[in-house]
Amino acid sequence: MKEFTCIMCPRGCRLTADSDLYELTVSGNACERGREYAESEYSNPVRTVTFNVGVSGGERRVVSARTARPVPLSKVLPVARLARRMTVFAPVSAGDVLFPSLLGEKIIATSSVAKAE
Amino acid sequence: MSFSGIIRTDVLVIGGGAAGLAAAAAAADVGVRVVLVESERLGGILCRCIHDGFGLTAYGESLTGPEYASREIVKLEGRRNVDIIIGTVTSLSSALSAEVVSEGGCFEVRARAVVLATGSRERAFGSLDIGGTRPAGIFTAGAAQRIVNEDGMSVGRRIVILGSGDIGLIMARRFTLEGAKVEAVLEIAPRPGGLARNVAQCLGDFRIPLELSTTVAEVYGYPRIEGVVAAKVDEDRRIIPGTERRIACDALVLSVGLIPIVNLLPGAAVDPATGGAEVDSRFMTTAAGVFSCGNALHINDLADNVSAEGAAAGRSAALFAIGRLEEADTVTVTAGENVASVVPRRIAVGEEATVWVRLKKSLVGTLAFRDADGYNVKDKKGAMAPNEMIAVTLAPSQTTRPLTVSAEET
Repeated sequence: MKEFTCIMCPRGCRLTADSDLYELTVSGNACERGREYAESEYSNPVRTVTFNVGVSGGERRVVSARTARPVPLSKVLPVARLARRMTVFAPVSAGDVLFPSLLGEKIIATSSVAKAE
Repeated sequence: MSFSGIIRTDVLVIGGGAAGLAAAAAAADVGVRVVLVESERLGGILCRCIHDGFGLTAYGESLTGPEYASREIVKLEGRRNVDIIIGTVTSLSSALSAEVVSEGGCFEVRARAVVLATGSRERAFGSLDIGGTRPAGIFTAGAAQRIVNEDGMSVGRRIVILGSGDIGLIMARRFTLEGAKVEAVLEIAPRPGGLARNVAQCLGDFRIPLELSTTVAEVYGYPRIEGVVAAKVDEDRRIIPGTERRIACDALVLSVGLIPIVNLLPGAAVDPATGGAEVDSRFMTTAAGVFSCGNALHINDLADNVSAEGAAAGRSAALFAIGRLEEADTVTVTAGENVASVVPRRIAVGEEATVWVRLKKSLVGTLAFRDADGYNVKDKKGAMAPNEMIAVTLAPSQTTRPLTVSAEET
């Protein structure tokens, strides 16, 4: 059994989700959106991870980046903590693929860093 | 490019964050000449908000702050009627003349209308009445955000966050992803200050403890902070003796509220409920030709809403500049029961208007706009809370009489 506070509206329902072999049951929800939220948080919570990656030879020390897709919650910390130890070379443009497969995830720059003058 | 002397323009936009960018684009769309003055980087605070969640309303997808900023900046590129100046406006007169200091020198901008999109500042440690030492290692959440996200440095390894505003929650997650340990987030109120989404995804995901009705009574350590004394508070926010406990840390981060920047308002009225300028439904302050939007007007939860306000204010300013914003009679909107603030305070009679309401407490019920006879002109039902601003759009037929907005529990 897992408990969540629903984030779909300010009501903030206390949701409980539980499953047996056949069925996932949600309780505490005031509406259908709450059920959907609890179901996805229970079975497969995903998050887009955002962080900085080091930049060598740029006019800034870091460039902001993200995973190309939402990743399972369990992967959030490993991806972020590995990414902060990585460095790329300037220049970097927003949208560049910085790493094609960091722990299996594509990492994309979300801002640009020009070469240092 | 260097400037000297006087620059004349139709619309001067002060501030190049979410509000100012949208204001400049909307004013330019009307066809007038626009000068935008930004003191640091176009995008403003968005540049340091590397997390995602921006643009859900405006673009239908979850963008990071820099990505959202670049989409807004692109709207200004290649426009021949928009000039962007990196500089600081040091004063603005009621005759709509602004003094600007920039690397290119000092000069004056004379405009027919001005949009103040100057954003907000953070409540700082000095305003909090916290005892103990005055060591290094105390940061506002926004300053920490800048140091960590823009400069790529760290503020500490063991961090206590006071206040649960959105930036504090976002930074709790950032510190954690950067390898620091967030010992606790302390909130003096009995409920979190930030959005439910941020409480769940920034604290819940990482099991960071959120302690409500708790504050920092004292900091200790010198010259660097070594820890804080946390204490429970009663309903009147007085410390309950005997509840004090020490939490060791090497940084204290404050997320205790934002205050609209109104320094440049030339003698116009400020609404004590929001801390921002008092505006009408066209975003004009009580100073003719001076408009206000975004966090300079009132503290918003979402950048998307700031952009929408900026666009509306920019359009109004452009119309004012060319004499096409017809003067209108206004009716007042007053904050009633359970309502902390309402923006705008005056609505042009017979025009559609969006009204933003912030509540004093969480409730499930009805937000009702009533006229002097108590007739319910417009309402909105559901669950509402102070940390999520409510927007209600009134139709032209609903803006003909003075209104009081109150939240009634069912």
